[in-house]
Formats: sequence, C-alpha cells, structure tokens
Amino acid sequence: MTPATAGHVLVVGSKPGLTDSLRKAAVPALVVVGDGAAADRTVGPGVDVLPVTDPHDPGAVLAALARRPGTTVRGVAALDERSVVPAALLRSALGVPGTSPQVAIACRDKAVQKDAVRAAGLRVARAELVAPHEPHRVAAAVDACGGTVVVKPVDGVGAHLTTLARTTAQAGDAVARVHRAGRPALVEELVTGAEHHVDGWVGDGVVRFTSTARYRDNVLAVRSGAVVRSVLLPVEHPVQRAATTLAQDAVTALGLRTGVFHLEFFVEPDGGLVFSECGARPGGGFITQTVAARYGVDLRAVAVRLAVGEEVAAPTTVAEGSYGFTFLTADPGTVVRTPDTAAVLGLPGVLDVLLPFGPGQVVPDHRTSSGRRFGLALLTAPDDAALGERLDRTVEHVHRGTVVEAAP
Amino acid sequence: MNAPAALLLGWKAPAVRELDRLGAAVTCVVEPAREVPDDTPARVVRCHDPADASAVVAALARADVDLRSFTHVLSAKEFPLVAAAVLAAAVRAHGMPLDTAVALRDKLVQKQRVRAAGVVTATTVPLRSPGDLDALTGSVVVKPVAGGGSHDTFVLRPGDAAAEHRARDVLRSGAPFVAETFVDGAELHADGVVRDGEVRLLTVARYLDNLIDVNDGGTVASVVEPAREEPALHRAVLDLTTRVLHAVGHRDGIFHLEAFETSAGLVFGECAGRAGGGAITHAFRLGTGTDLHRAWALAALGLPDTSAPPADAGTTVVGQGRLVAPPGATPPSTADVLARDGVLWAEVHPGPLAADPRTGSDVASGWAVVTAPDPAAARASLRSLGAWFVEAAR
Repeated sequence: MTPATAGHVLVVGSKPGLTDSLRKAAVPALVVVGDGAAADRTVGPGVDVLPVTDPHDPGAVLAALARRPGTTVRGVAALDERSVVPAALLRSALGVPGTSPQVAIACRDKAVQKDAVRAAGLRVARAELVAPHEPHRVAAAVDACGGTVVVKPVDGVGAHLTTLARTTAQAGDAVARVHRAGRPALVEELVTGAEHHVDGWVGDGVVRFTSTARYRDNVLAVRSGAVVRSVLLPVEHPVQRAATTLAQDAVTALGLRTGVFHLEFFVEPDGGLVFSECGARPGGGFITQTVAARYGVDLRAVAVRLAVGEEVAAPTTVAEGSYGFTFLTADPGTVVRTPDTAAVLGLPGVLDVLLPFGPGQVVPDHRTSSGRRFGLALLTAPDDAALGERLDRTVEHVHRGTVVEAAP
Repeated sequence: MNAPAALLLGWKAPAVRELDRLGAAVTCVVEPAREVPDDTPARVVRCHDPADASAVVAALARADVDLRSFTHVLSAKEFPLVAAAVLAAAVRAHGMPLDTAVALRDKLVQKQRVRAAGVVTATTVPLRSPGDLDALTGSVVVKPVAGGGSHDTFVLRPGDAAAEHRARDVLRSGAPFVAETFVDGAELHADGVVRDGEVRLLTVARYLDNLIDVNDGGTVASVVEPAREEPALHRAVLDLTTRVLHAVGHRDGIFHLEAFETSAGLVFGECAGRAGGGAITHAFRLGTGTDLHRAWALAALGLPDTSAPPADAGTTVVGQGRLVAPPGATPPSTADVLARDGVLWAEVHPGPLAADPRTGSDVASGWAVVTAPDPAAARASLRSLGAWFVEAAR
C-alpha cells in the first residue's frame, strides 16, 4: 500500500492524554469529539477537533465533515472499543484503507469473535447468544455453557452489565437486564484462570510487538469490590512468549492485518491459555501509559500512524524495573475535596496520575463497570513486590484524601 | 442478470412489497419488538437500532448474513437513511449517495446547501447548550437537528417564558437542536417523483393549519391544489423543488418538501427523500394514480419508471387528515369513517391514543383521505370529519 501523504487522520475515540499521543504520532489529526452538553474535555488546545452530535455515529461524523468543506481524510484511527466499527464504516465510506467493517465486527462483537477464534482451533469459553426476542433460550444456553456462566452484552465495554450467574434464575435476570438495555446477551462458560492482557500491534498480518500484563484480580471481581490493577510481566516470562503466539493466532483468525490490539486471556492452572476477547484498538485505563513507560512506545500514537499506512518499528530498548497501573477509588457520592495531583505524583514510584473528578462532580460506584473509576495511577518499582506495596499505598492515599458527600 | 439483493433498514411494509414485486430478494433489519407479518417475503434480521450502521453490521454478522452480499442498501424511512447510505458506500452497493442522505437528514447541512443555491429559506443556527438561547433575537422555531413528525419542535417568541423554559430543558438533555427564524406564512407540502434530476410528478398541497400549530391543538390535514386551479403556484413550487433537489443532490427517488407561502414568495422549509407521513401517499395515489412506494422502489433499484400517469391525473381534488380521539376514548372504526360522505380511504387504530397528539403531528388515532368538488370543500370536509370523529369516539 502506498500511503497518501496529504490530509488528516480522523481519530475516533478521544481519551485523556490524547494530545500527547498525537504529538508523538506527528501526523495531522482531526479528533472527533462530542458536541453540545456532551462536549469532550479531554483534548487539549492546539488539537484540531470535529464536534459531532454522536462521535460513534458514522452518519453524524460524515455530516460534520460535510459541514467542513476542504478537509481530506487519509486514514481513520479507532482509539476505544465503541469506535472500532464506526471507524471501519468511515474508512469504507471515505475510501481510505484499513480494517474493514467485517473484520471490525469480528473484533467487536463477542459472539462473532468467539465463533471465529474457536473455528481457528484456539481454546475459548463456550458461549451462547440469547437475543431479545428469544429469552426462552436462557436455560438451554446455561446448560450448554456448563452451569456457572458469565452474562454480558454482546457488544459490552468494560464489564458493564457483566454478571456472574450461578443458577439459571440468576442468568435469566442478568439476560433480562442486558435485554432491557436493548442488546443481545452472551451467556458464557466461566473460565477460572488468571486474567491477563497482551497489547501490541500487527502490521501486514504479522504481530510486530507485544507487551503482556496480569490483572491482580480478574476484571469480573470488580463487581465484588475489587480494584482493577495490572502489572507488566517480565519480558522473558513464559506467558509473555505464549501470549505473543496466542495474539498472532487470534488476529489471524479475526482477519486483523494492520492495527493496534488489546487481547485478554486467561492462564489456567495447567499453564494453558484460554482466549477471552480481542479489541482492535489500544487498551483502556493506563495501559498505553504503562507500555510507554517500559518500552518507550505510545500505542495510541502507533494506532494513528498505522491508520495512515506508516510502518512502525518495534522498540528495541526496555526500561529496567516493574511497571503497573491501578484504578484509584473513592466512595460513591458528590466530591467535596480531592487530593492534590502534585502530592500524588510525589509518592514513591508514581509516574503519572489522572484525577478527572473535581468538587461537585458525582463519583459513580466503580463496581458497575471496569471502565468507571475515580482515577488512574501509573507506578514503577525495582521489583513486583515493591510495586505491589507502592500501588497499595497510592490507592490508599487517594482514597483517604478524597472527601465525598454520600447520596441521600 | 441476477436478481437484486436489497438490504432494507427499518420496517416499511409497502417498501418490502414493492421491492419484492420488482424481483428483489429483500432482507429487512427491524427492531427487536417490531411485529412483522408471518407471510412477509423479506428475510428479517432483528437489531436494537436499524438506524445505527454499526449495530446493523453486527446484527447481520450474528445472523450469518454477509453485508457484501447485497447489491442495494436502502431505507424508505427517515431515521435510517444515513445509516443505509453509509453501509451502501462501505460495500460499494447501490444506494442513496452519502452526501445526499446527509443533506436530506441533517437540517443544518440541508439549509446550508439550499441557501448556497440561492433558495430563500429561514436562517438556521445550531443550539448546543442553553446559553446559546441568549444570543437569539426575534421569534424562532426550535427543532432537533435530525427530528421528524414535529416532535420537540416549537416556536420561541421573545418574552415567552414557558417556551424559553422548554427550550432550556430540551437543550440540557444534550441532544443537538437548531433555531430557525420564524417564517410568517402558510405552510404547504410538495410530493412527487424525481428521476435523473428531473421532477417527473408533483403535487402541491396546502396544510389547513401550519404543522407547528400541532402544539396548540392545530389540525393536521392538507388538501392537494389541482394544477389547473393554481398554475402560478405550481410553477413556483416546481421551480423551488427542482432547485432544492439539485442542491441536496437527490436525483432519483421520491420526495416530500415543505415550504411557506409568504407575501414575498415561497420560503423553503425542509425536504425529505421519502414519502410524506400521515395519509399523504394515499392522497397522492388517489389523486394521481401513482403509488409513491412503487416509484420509490423503481428508483431505489435503478429501474426505469415507464408508467404514464393516467389522463385524469391530478384532476380529482383530494385531501388527507389526521383523526384524533379524545384522551382515553375508543375511536370509531375504519368502517365507520369509510361510511362518511366523501371519504375515499381511512385507517383507524383501535384503542385509545398512546400519547398526547399535541406532542407530534404523527400521533394519531387514524388517518383519512377525502374528495370534494374543490379545495375549499375538501378543507371543510376534513374539518367536519375531524369534529365528527371526536364526537363519535366513546
């Protein structure tokens, strides 16, 4: 492919820290942001933005482009999960190269994805789709998936509406909740291994770079009060090598030839890897920042560069020490006072912190989804044990320093 | 040549029927709860939002339907129009050009294009937050950027505290709205067929009350003005329609256009690339002998429209109107309405209304088409039918 050299890359899925990633990408970018009361505040000054009624509606994006004559789009980058399919549709509609809608669906829709990965011979949880017009299928789906199941929206993001169900009745309730949100539900076999994620990119069908990390608790445990935390595995760790093989097999099965990916999997007690899901976009939370801290490569910048057909070389240097990130927590309620960001940055090992809530804002209950949290912190330490202690101390510091007024 | 494979977004029975009659294999994407007749010729795929292109692609994939297998991606409804165009462009299938779909659906883009073509129309400004109301001067119409059926559309006059409160409320919801300068004129609608950029068939109908008056209990009804009675009006509307369709790029299909007659001439309101609501298609068929759904399907499939309008096309005076039963009342039956003098067609939904008819021009107990010797008599007949319907409801 000969990349076009003039025009913008359209960036769908604005994120905190995006301004820095775009500077590193050094490609002219036009960032799709929310309009009106939903206006996006995560993009800094100096970034060209395209205000849109709904950033995830390709029709709305195309309408906004129509109101802005003279803009040439030469690539479309998806930076979050909900942007993957809209970005693919925009690529096709605008006639620019990149991941097609068919591949995007395989990377986005959990039912289509699991079928494709299973067909390629990878280990993956059994799963059954229960559409809103066929709720009577719940019992059969639970039976087919082994009794204890996980119920989730087929296009869910960040464990929202994801429920562990130990009985058919619980599964029925969980499926009904998903259906009330207007979505088909996926009933999945519960996999009990340790949850990991591998992040990287693929170019011309070949995985070029991977970074593997382990979640401290499986993400589903968030619903029981666990705090999402992830620590990078050592480069020589056997799971890191196995994860790279899994990632290659998975992206091949999904048809993803070029782009950044975030793949989650379980390591079972026998050491085997079980595929969970794979997104065609950079991981959420502080995954981009954590990978950048160790490897010096910004996965969002890579996504933007790949979107315009640039070749991106894998990093050759690896920073010493352990790296990980954690969600920061506060009790649900209205924020009265937050800790000073500079003070948090001054804690041992803290490299970056995000505290987006200010006084008067309402902190949601983080147990409702892995994507909701009070803040994020990226830390380093000489080893994993020290890193664990520092992560604990940072979470505790922020929690103690945050005053909220509980909802009546 | 293989039969066309049409993906139709949103359920519209006449569109399915006509596509099928023309030999297309139809796959229709519908909402999960949509009732579809068992004997429909269409393959049905359920999707939580047929107007969301991403959701449609996912629903098709889950149903093991390859989007690339379609030769045409279409919608005969207002909301999925852009999604259909996006998907058509994505798989290089036939469909409405994306640019045209956007201009037909997005009122800001539409007004921008039409104004640039020299057509007189209201000034439109986007409203992004309640604070934007402070910059408005004079009377304006507040409406959603991509609305339909006059829902959430109302006049905001200086000093009208209730309307201002309503405007602040709708803007706080975060949905995109626009404010248009209020046009002081009588509203009319033009409906017809355009092929190869040329308006082939046109009817002009005057509303009894402007649609904006639905908020205050206005009558939702219109009477087709025969061309022989109003040749100057027809010429002016044909000129306006041609320029508007050209400006938005709508060269092949059907249209429903609204405009205002003012002392200074016609002022463009808005234009849709679909059949008008209410009983407009029935009035059109009874007045011209042409089925707009058939015309839509022919254009959508790129087939020539070889039918000639009957010799007496446009000579029958017809009007169509909304029938509204009082809150909680059971309306008269369709047969009761059909038995009234001058009624050519009617359809009444049994049971009380589900919503306040003042919230939208499409909230109705039923619809009827009447005929009369002249437009004035048709208007009187529609008003009298509406009054009888209220009294006859139990």
